[in-house]
This record gives sequence, structure tokens and C-alpha cells, in this order.
Amino acid sequence: MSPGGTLERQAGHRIRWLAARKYHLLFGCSLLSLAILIGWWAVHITSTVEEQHRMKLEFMDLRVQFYAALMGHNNVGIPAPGPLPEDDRIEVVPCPAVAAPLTHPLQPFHPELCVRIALAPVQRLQREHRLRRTMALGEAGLSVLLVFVTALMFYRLITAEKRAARELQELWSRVTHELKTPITGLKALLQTLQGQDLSRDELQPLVGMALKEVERQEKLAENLLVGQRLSGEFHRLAMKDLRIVPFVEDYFSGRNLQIDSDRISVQVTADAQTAVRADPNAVRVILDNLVDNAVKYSGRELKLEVSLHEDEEEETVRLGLSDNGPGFKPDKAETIFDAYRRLEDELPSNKHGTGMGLHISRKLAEDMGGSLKASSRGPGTGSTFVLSLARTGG
Amino acid sequence: MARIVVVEDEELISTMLELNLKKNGFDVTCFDCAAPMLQHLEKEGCDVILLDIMLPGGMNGDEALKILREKGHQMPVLMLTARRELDMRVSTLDDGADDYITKPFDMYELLARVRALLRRAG
Repeated sequence: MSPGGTLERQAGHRIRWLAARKYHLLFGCSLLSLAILIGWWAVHITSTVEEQHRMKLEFMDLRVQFYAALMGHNNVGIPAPGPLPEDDRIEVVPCPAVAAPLTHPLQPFHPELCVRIALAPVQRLQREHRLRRTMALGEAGLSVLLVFVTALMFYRLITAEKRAARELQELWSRVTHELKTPITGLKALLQTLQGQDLSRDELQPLVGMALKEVERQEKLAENLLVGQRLSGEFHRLAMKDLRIVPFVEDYFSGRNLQIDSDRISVQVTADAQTAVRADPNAVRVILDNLVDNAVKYSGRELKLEVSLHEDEEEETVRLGLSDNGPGFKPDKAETIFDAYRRLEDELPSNKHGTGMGLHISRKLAEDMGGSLKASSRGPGTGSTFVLSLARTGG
Repeated sequence: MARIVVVEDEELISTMLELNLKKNGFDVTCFDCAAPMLQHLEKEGCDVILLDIMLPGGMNGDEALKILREKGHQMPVLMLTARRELDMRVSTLDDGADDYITKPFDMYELLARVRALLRRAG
């Protein structure tokens, strides 16, 4: 590739990087501007409070000076405090007792007396000043905090929205892939049949493969429809007392299974007459999904162990399916049931599926009053799924 | 006889590609993942590669494409995929693909594109 092409690609990556992060940049800049504005406002308010305080002190000082001048220039030579004793903000005290900066000796006629601001108003003024300054700083701090909390909430909301949109896009990408792949094969087969003469021996395996693709499409449609129905309000289950042992044995001896029967071992300890409260179609959908997953991820080496036993204490029947597939990390035991979730980090990303199978299965199990749980000791150790259903009197 | 390598994990699609290409006089070798295809190219080479993007085995088609271009293989590569996104098409062509066809493709069109790639490659 030419250096020019590399440069263009680098520029393209840079532009894409900026485009992908432009909302983050805008958001960050807005937040910073707002914080700066609030900071400036806090500084402005505090300095105003300081200025007011200083002016009040100066004003009081001026009054003292005025009184001092007035009294000091009394030509009679006698202090004439006049209204002073009635004013609680100004007091006349003997000079030696006073050393405050706002005190003015009554020079030159009464050197032994001073006029000063009374202590109480000064303290009141100081208290008021401290309170106002604290309020200004507190309001500014609270505003900054509110801005950051709001920003954080918006950020989380936007992130959640973006994640949801991405998951939806991934789902549609998977669904599109799932829909198109069987169609591609079938279209190619039909075009081949149209254009080529195939012998019966050539045709036979192709028809088998085509049927598998049709079944895959059918399961995809079923899962999407069940998923859609479950998300609505009015899905109803046809609950009945189901004799679970013959049901499970019939299921695993069924012709429609995608695996050979010698790869499945079924161990039943439950009584043949045991009944559970369940909708047979829902149980079938759950089993279809679990077996489908096992086949999908374990491949040709699949060994499936099915167990069915009664839990006397909890009065449930437990149907367990263990496979020798890739398994998963133990901390993913719950997240694998999330809608549209697939363990992309641990499982091959090319495998078919919409990520709805396990979610639908758990929802159905819970709607029947039961539960569906998964466990694995870790990647490469296989996984076990246990469907618990409430036992009835039979 | 032109040698075509097909890398496609879907059994029916792979089989149909093999069958049609063989009926059209090509020598076809199929793989269901990318790593053995890369090994095969080292020994045998080929004239055109049909490469699916979503592949098992830990290496997707677009990654395999980058590797084979880095190794200096210059044969035409036709990408096959169900993904239609513009980003994917642009990046795959930038990474060295010669053509791109989305599923479900028309078999006649695919064969025509293979012939066109072979013509251009001389």
C-alpha cells in the first residue's frame, strides 16, 4: 500500500475517532464552562460580601471620627457626649483602656477620653459577614455539586441509551444474519437445481442440508415470536398437570433432535407418575433452546447428560442438562439470561442465535412458577442447566 | 484450470459454492475456518479466494485478509458476508479485498464476479 494511502487511512481513523467522541467533547466543554461560570460567580459574590463588610466598617469608623472631631472641638473644654450615651454603637471610654484601631482620642482637649465603636455591633457585623461569606461559598459549592450530579445523571442516561441502541443494532445485525444465511443457502440450492442436472446421489445430501436450514429458520422465527409475545401483557400459558417423566423420555427419543441418541444419557430417579404444574409447549420451548445451545457450542463432540429427580424438601422436580461444551465463567451465570445477551468474549462469535433463547426460557420457567438456573466451573468445563418445576399431587 | 479457495462455515452455502464452481470448470478447495486456509496458501497458492467474514476458530475473514496481504499474497479476494454496513464494506476493501458480495447473493452473479476477477488478474 502506498504511503499516501496509509496517510489517508490514518486521517480517516482520526476523523472517525473525533466523530465518535464529538458528543463527549461537547459535553465535557459545556460542563467545564458551567463550572468556570459558577466559580467566577462564587468569587464575585464573595468579593462583594467582603467589600460590603469593609464599607460598613469604614462607615462606622467615619462616624467615630466624626464624633471624636465633634467632641474634640468643643471650645468649652468639657466633653459633650450629647446623644452619645443613648447610642449603643458608639461609646466614650478612658483612653488608656482602649487600644482598638477604631478608637480616636479626643485630642487635643480631652486626651484622657476616647471614642470607639462599641464591641457588640462590631461582633454582630463580623458574625453577619462570616455568615454571608459562608452562605455565598456554600451556594456556589452546592451549585457546582448540582451541576456535576445532573451531568453525571445525564451521562449515565445517555450511556445507557447508547448501550441499548447498540444492543438493538447488534440484535438486528444478528437477526439479519440469521435470516439471510439460510436463505442464501436455499437460494443457491434452487439456482443450482435450475441450472444444473444433479443426480439423485448428489441431490440427497443437499436436500438434508436444506431441511436443516429450514428448521433453523423455523426455530429463529419461533424464538422471535415467543420473545415478542412474552414482552406483551397478554401471554397466557396453558398450565396443566404434566407427567414429566414420560414427557422428557419422549422428548429425548424424538426424531427431531439434532444429535444422535447415543450422545445423550438420560437418568431418571423421579417416579414415573410424578406430575408437575406446567405448560407442555413452554417446557418444549425451554428444552429446544437448551439442547440447541448445547449442540451449537459443543459441536460434534457433544455429550449430553439429562437427569430428572424429585426434590422432596422443596416439592419440586428438577430437570438437569449437562453438556461438555465451552462452559462459561461462574460470574456469568446470571447475565447469560439477559435478553439479546451472548457471551461474545468466551464463545465463538460466528455461532447462530439472537441471544433470546435463554432469556425466553427463564421467563417461561418463572411464569410457570418454576426456575431455570445455569452453572459452570469455568470456560472449557461444560455447563449445567437446571429447570425446576413445582410438583403436584399427580 | 483456475484454483479457487472457498472459506465459508455454513455447510449448505459452502457445498453449493463448491458444486457450482466445479461445474463451471474451477478447481475448488473449501475450508470452514481461516487458519487452515492460510496454511494451504503457503503451500499451494490459488487464483481467487472467496472469503466469508464471520468465521469460527478465533479468526474472522477480515483478519485473515489482513494477514494474507501482509504476507504478500496478491491474488484477488472476494468477500462474502451477510453484513451490509458501509463501514464494513469500506474497511474490508481498504484492507485489500477486491470485491464484496452480500448474502443472499445470486449464484450467477457470484460466478460472473469470479470470472471478472480472474480476467483482471490476467
